[in-house]
Amino acid sequence: MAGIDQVKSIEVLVIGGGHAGCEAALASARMGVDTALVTLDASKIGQMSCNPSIGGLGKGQLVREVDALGGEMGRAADATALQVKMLNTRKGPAVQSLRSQNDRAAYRDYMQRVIGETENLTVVEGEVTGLDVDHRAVTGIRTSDGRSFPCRAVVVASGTFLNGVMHRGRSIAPGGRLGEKAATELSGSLRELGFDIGRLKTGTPPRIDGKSIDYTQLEIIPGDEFPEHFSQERLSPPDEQLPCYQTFTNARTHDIIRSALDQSPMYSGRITGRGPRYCPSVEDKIVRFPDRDSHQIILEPEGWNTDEVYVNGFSTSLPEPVQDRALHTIKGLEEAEILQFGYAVEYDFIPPENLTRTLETRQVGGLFLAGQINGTTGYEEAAAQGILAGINAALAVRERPAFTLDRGEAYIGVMIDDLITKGADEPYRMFTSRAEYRLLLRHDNADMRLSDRAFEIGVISRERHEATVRRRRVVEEETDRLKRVYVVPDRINRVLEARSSTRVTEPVSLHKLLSRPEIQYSDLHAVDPDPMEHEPTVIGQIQTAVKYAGYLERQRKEIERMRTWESRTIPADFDYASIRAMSHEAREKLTAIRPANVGQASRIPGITPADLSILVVHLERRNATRRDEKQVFHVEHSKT
Amino acid sequence: MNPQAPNDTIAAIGTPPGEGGLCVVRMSGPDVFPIADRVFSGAARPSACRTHTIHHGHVIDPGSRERVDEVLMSVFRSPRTYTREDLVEFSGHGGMVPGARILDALIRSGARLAEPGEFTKRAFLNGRIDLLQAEAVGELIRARTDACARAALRQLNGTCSQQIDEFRLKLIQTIAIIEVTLDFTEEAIPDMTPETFLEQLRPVREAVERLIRSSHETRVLRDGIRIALLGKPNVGKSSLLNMLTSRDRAIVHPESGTTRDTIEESVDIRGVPVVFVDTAGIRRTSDKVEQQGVTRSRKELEQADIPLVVFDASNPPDDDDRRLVAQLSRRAGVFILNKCDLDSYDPEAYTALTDGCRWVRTSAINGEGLGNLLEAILEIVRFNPDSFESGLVVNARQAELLDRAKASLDRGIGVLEEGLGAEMAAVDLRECVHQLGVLVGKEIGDAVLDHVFSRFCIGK
Repeated sequence: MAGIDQVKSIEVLVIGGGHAGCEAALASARMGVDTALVTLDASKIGQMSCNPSIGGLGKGQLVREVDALGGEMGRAADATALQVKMLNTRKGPAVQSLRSQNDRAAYRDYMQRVIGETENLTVVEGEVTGLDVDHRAVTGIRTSDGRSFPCRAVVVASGTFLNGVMHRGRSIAPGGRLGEKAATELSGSLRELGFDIGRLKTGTPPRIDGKSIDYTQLEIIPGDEFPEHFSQERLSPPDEQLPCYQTFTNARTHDIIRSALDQSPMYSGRITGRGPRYCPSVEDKIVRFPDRDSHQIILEPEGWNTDEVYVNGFSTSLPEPVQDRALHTIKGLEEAEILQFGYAVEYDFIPPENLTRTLETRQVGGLFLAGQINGTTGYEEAAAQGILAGINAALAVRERPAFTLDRGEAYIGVMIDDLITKGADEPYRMFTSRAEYRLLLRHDNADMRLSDRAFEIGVISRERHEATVRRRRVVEEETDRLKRVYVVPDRINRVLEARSSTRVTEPVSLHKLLSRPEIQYSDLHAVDPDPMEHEPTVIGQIQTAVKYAGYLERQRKEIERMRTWESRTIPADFDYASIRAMSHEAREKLTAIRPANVGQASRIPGITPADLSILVVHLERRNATRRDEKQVFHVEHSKT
Repeated sequence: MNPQAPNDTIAAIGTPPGEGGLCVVRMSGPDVFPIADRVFSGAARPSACRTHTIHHGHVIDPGSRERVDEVLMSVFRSPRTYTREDLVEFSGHGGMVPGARILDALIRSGARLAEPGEFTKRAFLNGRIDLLQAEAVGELIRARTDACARAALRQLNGTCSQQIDEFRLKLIQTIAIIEVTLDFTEEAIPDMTPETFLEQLRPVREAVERLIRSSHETRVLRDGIRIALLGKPNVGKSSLLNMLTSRDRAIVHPESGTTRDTIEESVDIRGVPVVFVDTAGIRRTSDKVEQQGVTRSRKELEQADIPLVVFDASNPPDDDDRRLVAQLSRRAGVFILNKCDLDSYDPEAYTALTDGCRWVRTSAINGEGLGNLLEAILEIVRFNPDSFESGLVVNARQAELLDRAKASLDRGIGVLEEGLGAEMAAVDLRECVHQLGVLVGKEIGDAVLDHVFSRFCIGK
């Protein structure tokens, strides 16, 4: 990490040291571009602001994709895991995800060490107050202490710090995180540049002293016996794991909270921004589900060297005495001592319809936005945007082609398409159901899906790419072989009986056998004339390829169809206002969102098939006119 | 440079070819009024007429100023017209010649002959109708009977989509619940078994099946059914055809083997368009010409939706009759025991040959049994005129969408029944929702692109 004085030339400048900012800065620097990370407090880089946990349903897929693009989040999570758990194991592989509990301090230290060791990356402490823009292109930034930093691209990853205001009961304090100041002037600068500014909110639960918890009454939630890794590089597997504990709120808890709602900044109208529906505060849960007299609480350890415990499920911004009383009604927490009270934070975001697929703003060239500023919630969502914005900022200053992902390639593609097409009315969180091709977009094959693209732009090493290609080949060849190898009924029926699977009367392929839900790859060993040994992740992928076979093929075809729509591009200057036949609403929406192609246009809420068919006709007509004009031009040209 | 741009004025005869009491010539586009002023002679001047008014006068030849036809002129001013452009219609005398002469006058005054479907295309391009409605217009134009036209009109109004949309919504709700179980861990949500989903899905499948059945009926409505009249020579097939169609179309002659060619006749049976095909008698013959006729009869039999097999029940069955019964008893058809007016009529000798067939007794001479015969035919096409009001008009593309929706739903239900992953069932159910969405015009299908270009070949 170079000191401020050594800053010579900055090409890409990243504002913010959270999960988005870290990935953006690392990606850009690793691509050989001189990069600076500007943050309010360098000692808070890589801080997990909320739960001490990485991954989860839908989010684990994002972490694996960030890893496949050479990002740091997966490695950091693996290196600092307290507990690792594969979720949804009773359901299919496409909806399973990995989640880890992490040592909050170790995660932050890990990230700061990596950033410090990365070449071409400088950390600058300061509050960015404004952007310098010339001819609609960013030229640098200014900080509150009067310094200015010229640069060619800026990634804003300001998290909850952009005009952040913290609420607890009736007390209000500016800040992006407890005890940290907010970035108050940058927001105004962005507004001056013509950006709309919206307001969102999020919240965090209290932290309590583990020594004051009566664990003897609580159900223990251990980690997996054989913990998996987020990163393909499989750093330091945890040999030991810390458990979580489960408890529940009860009618008394709810009574206390209900009677104090008038003191809640959410319900007294002091907070206007919308909160995440999928990660509600405990007061939200009680108001929205009045019939339920109990909600789940998970007590999560904060680290190896601390007694601090995170009360997951109890996010709240009620006054301190209410938090105290309510918490003490919960089994196991009767004597709990609160170390840090929960609070809500309101912050500015910029409606993401302003962005292109690279996360660059349409209004200002070279200005990229990533993370909560785009209306998302979650570390993983932030990191995924950060790495994509960082890669594209670096590509832009090198004048190389942009790097984008579509809905058929990655959850990252799904998320960015959702954001730029549909906007964010509430904080956007990833779910597997958002990915229409989720049977193909699994966390187990993230590296296989993205390795070629990642290697092409130079964010992963040749060795890593080749290892992935080899693994991919093994899966393909073995899946193929299983189709060719037939076994006679005598031999199979014994295996089938052992698994209480229906007997066969004619020879069947191993592929067909494995496609039965009750048959596992290991069952084939007994009847396979040429049994193969593979590592567990490869076996998992072979099984998935066989069990989903027909569906994967259909999803591939769907993706092809989707891409024919995506290939019908719409010129950036296309004049929707002139299409009289289209409804006023449709014209307004298309003008505001400016879809890159007909496929994206079709996903804009409120755009009807009638609008689309009219759009297609007009696009064709325009193209035809262009073709004709070109011909005329050529003719005239040849005359002269 | 772009001849397709709707900046010119088009004209076409709007009534079907053939004899008729009226012939309507329609003209649409920016130059409608200058052209109409040139060719219309009457008390009113077209360009001075108010919108939605009718005026008496004559269409005159723009060159010789001779009267071409006496007409009623309807004036519609943009935008409240079929195409949203200025539009004028001339109702002239029936028949192709006067219509063609009016059209000729318009074209010589600056209009262009419209391409097939071009008025509808303009209505679509100007946002007057959506693609589904444009499709329905096509149906309307092709509709063969009143009932078809009524059904097509309903689609034009968009009311028949409601039913599909309702169970599409139900499906979406079920998918939402399935997604919740996939997107949240077991601890966070109440227990839900595949049976919970199946209870919601099965009624939807039944509704889709009902719809497919009803669409079958309406397909019958549009395309009509083909009925082949078969039987030995001189059993009275041609007389029956005459009775059914109430016209002396077929040559009826006591000498056997008169009908050597096939004869087709279209009639409307309670709104169902039916094409009767009279065939040469089927028997072993050495006559070359008659042999050809027999071969053609067999072909007709294969193509027909329903065979009507006619027997002369005033004579006992012979080998040819027995062979016919044996050949056709497995096909859904009607076996007609004709000539019940004769004394020697003995139907039991025939009905004893096979059971499980529809036997109808008729007399082609006095018309006895005609009602029963029509009932039997309608029963086979499963068409109930009373249930038609809930029917859905489908064309080939829509029928395919319905079938695919059902196939997706079947697969999804199958996956859940087998206890396979709900994430696979979700793929199937989403597919089903998509097909239904395309059907009701709420989602865009691939077909739309092709469609846009096949219907409106633009920029080529």
